Amino acid sequence: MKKSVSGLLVVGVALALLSIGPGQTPVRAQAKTATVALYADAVTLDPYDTNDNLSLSVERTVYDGLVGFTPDMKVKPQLATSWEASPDARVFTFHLRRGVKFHDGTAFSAEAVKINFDRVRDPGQKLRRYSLYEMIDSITVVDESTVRFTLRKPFGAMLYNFAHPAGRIISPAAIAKGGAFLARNPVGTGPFKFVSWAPGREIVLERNPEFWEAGQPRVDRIVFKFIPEDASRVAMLLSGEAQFAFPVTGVQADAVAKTPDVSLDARWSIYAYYVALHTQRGPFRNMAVRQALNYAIDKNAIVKVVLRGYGRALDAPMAPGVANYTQVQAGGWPYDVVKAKALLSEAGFPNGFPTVLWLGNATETQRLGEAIQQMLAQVGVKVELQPMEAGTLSAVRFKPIEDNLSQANLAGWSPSTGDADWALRPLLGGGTWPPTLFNLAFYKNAKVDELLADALGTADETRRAKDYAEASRIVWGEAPWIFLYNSQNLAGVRAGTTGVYALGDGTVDVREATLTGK
Amino acid sequence: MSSYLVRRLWQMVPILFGVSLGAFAFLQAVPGDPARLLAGPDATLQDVQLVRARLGLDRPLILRYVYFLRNALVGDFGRSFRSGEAVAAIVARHFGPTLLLSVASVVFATVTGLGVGLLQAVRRNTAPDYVSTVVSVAGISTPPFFLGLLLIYLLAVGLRWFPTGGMGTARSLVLPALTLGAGVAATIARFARSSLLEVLGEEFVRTARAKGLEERSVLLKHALRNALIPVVTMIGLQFGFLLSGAIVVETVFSWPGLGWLMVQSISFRDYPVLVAEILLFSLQFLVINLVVDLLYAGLDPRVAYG
Amino acid sequence: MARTAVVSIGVRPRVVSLGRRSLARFVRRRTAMAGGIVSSVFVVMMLLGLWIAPYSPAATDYNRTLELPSLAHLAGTDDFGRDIFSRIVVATRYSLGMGLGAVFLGAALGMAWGIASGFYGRAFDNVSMRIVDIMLAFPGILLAIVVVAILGPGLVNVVLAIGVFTIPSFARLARAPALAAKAQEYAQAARALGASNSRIMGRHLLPNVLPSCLVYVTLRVGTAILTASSLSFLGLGVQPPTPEWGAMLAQSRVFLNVAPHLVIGPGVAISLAVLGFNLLGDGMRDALDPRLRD
Repeated sequence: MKKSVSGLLVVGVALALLSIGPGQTPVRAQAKTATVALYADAVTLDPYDTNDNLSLSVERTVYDGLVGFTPDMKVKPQLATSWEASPDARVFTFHLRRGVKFHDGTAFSAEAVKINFDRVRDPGQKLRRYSLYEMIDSITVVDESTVRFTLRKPFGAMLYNFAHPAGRIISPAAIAKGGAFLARNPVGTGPFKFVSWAPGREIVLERNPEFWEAGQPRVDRIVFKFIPEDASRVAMLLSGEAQFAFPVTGVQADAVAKTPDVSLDARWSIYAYYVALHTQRGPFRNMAVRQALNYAIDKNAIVKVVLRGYGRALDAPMAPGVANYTQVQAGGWPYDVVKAKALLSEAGFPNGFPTVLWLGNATETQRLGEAIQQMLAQVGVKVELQPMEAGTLSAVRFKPIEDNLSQANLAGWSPSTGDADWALRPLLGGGTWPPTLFNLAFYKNAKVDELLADALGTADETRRAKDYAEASRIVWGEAPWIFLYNSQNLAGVRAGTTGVYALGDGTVDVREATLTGK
Repeated sequence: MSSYLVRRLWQMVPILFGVSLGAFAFLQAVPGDPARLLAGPDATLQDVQLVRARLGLDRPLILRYVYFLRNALVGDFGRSFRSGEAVAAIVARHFGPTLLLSVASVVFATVTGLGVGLLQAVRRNTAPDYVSTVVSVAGISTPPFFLGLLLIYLLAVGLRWFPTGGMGTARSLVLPALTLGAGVAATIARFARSSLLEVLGEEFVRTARAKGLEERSVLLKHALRNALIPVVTMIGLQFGFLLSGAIVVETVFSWPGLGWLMVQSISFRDYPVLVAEILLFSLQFLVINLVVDLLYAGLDPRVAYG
Repeated sequence: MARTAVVSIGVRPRVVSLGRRSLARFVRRRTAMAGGIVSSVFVVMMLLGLWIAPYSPAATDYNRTLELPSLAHLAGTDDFGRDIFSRIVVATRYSLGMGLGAVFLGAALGMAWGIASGFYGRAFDNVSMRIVDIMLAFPGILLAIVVVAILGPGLVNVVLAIGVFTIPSFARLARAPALAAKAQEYAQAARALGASNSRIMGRHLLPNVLPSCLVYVTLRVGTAILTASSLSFLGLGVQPPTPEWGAMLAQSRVFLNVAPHLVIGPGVAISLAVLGFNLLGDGMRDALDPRLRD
């Protein structure tokens, strides 16, 4: 009987070893492989069904859009070489690059563009990015390399929707194989072709020798590894197993910067962090109370302690990197405990009041919560922190106002289109209260709504910028949020690796990865 | 023996049925909307509703359970909410890594645990006993994530003997297996020690000694064999726990096993995958219990099943 | 009254003499004594922590963050400039309180379950033990996650979560001695004399179940403290800024290679406490088991 036990174990080990399978031996030889350590696995590789940064990062490498983003979130040409918008922001015409081929050998054309956007705007497809493109009324193939979009109503931010990383162009031949195929087998025109995906482990891509941009790509392989634990991810970079790790926490930043052969890459994100205060109920209905809390928080101390210096106080309701941002108050909302106390007294709360703050349960988020709690205690506002697991937090936050028990919510937001519209409307528009969207403050201001609508109704960027500036000013003064900070994206890079970086929206771009030296 | 086996296997059916019902009810009680989680916080209500319809969540719970049962009986556990893949394929894919890690940890833990336990029992109340007792208890008393991170920074980043994480060559197995096995080894050692001491005090061992048998043979032939019985139970139980996915260790070492899958499925409220995982864990547990009982019969001639 | 007195007499003297001999054996075992001393020190810290700690555990000083240990700050300061030593000391009441609370809760419910199962026997026993099997098969962390998800975060809920998944092992442990005691003469006699079911379970079965369960309690306290730290690692532990060893360790783990003193303090505290209770439990088990010679 004992023998059979060991026999069983041997079989078990053998089976398990088999399951590791081939292809695990690291590719060495002369092939240049860039290994990129990220914090989670991709969910899908169908861009129109994607909303997480990890999947978007991989998709960006395999696919091209009509237009894309530069590292500082400006729109740049990709498969479209130029474009025009009608003055009323209803008709958008794109002139396409010629001679481009998909990874499966089929040719890219205006027809392919039409097939892609017809797919996403069909509600029967039930794709997660339906809303980004549902305002398209018709798509016309003008000629082989010109395509025209006509919208049902004016939409001034449309160019940013096209640049959104979900708006990639998939090979029509692959689309014909259905959504389940696309989710696992991306076929695009990008600098790297898809090779394999071992869920929970890695995604492997190889160079596309027929890529349209001369001199690219510069490495043979890209391997994305998924390392959820912050400390483990940094360890992987320090030990040389990865050339690039993202994100690196503020705490680890100095250690990374000090290690030989490794450097820290800090870039401004377009994330804005804030505490949304429930403006329709309780003490936060009173504007003076909300303003008092803004005075009570020492934003610079938070940046110093929680972010270890890698951030700056918000000076508008969105990060400076967002298109059509305008600064409202230089240096952010001033830190003034005396004024905060005076305002609270005036509002009838000389001794403060208790409140509950909902937040995520990541270590960094909890540290931020602790700092806020400690600062508000100085003006008598006793904050109970309720960190919640992601699924639970989302469930309680997205309840309609009748059932929503929230008081204060700690949140961070990056507009995925990179534009002011998606920085303000989902968070502060009168029509975006939960469960519709993320207006956790239940804020509603007729003038702000009017300005947001006006900005959407024009393609005139000057007018849009003016509208958003005015809306920002109103929001800032009425303080539905405690305006906290805009953070930097921190990544660790090994010496000799260039062209890999985190974009402002928290996705990673490895299209131009280059390895020199070793 | 075979009729006993058949009876035991037959008894598993109602238990698994109960587990599936329990799992369904249980998951409903957890707050969270898979459609919203999948669509993301910046999805409009319209997008969320499209996703909900796609997942079949617009149907009543009872109906969903009936469909589930009907399909599960023919081996179809549905499709993952998160990735759309067949659940059976997903679970199968992550079972291998967990099995590998569990087996490696248990082998490591059994060898070390039994060795230490034997040493302690023989050298009872001497310095080696005290020292190894303290060391083995220290093994139990270190939080696994802490031990894991320590090993990573000492052996992977510092000395570069092993990779920091992920599953690849045989080397990548060492650190996670050590981390996971440390606590188990300590448990086995303590169990083996007390069980051996108990046996050493019994009549038949004294008789064997009185007969003038060599101490070595007394220990190995008579005492160890009998002392093994409770230790086998313990190893079986521990193995069962390890197979349910070592969530913490798999997270620290980015090991793509069932624990990793569970964390991910919970955060997406991926009900089909969670139900399948819970069923698998229960089945494993039942099977291990059965194997342990059968091993008893092999180790202890007094136990017989009819 | 008279009825039970008659029945109990047979038991009590045996317990007393067993206790005396056990104590002697316990004291002779040095590791057990060490465990007893360490556990007692922690219990004292738990009760008097607030008076022992030199600083308030919540007092921040943003100008003195991440300082190394010094005379002013025995274990240094953390990333908020709080005194780590004070936090560790005060944390004793939360960590240990939580561990003890969870295990007592689990033990009480589990023993009741196990005794009832052993007492009623037959189908009831069969079904309830299968439920215990299922509970044991259910991944404990998942159970804890669900409890915390439903009830929200917080000290009490963590205690409940850990308590719930401590129940089945106690139920199993209690069932066997309950079963054995039920067959004993005095229990049969009590029944014949018309004692109620709950009375028989409480007065006759419980005393037989208690010794082994008590030992197991000390062993499980360590497990509970470790589980709490794993929950904190997964972000499901106590709410900040509550000082709790597991939470302190989990939250400072990113400092491991940057400011190791943040991690070492709570790590050592956990290890020592678990070590103490385990050695104590081991010693108690050895001492209470008359079959073990010295």
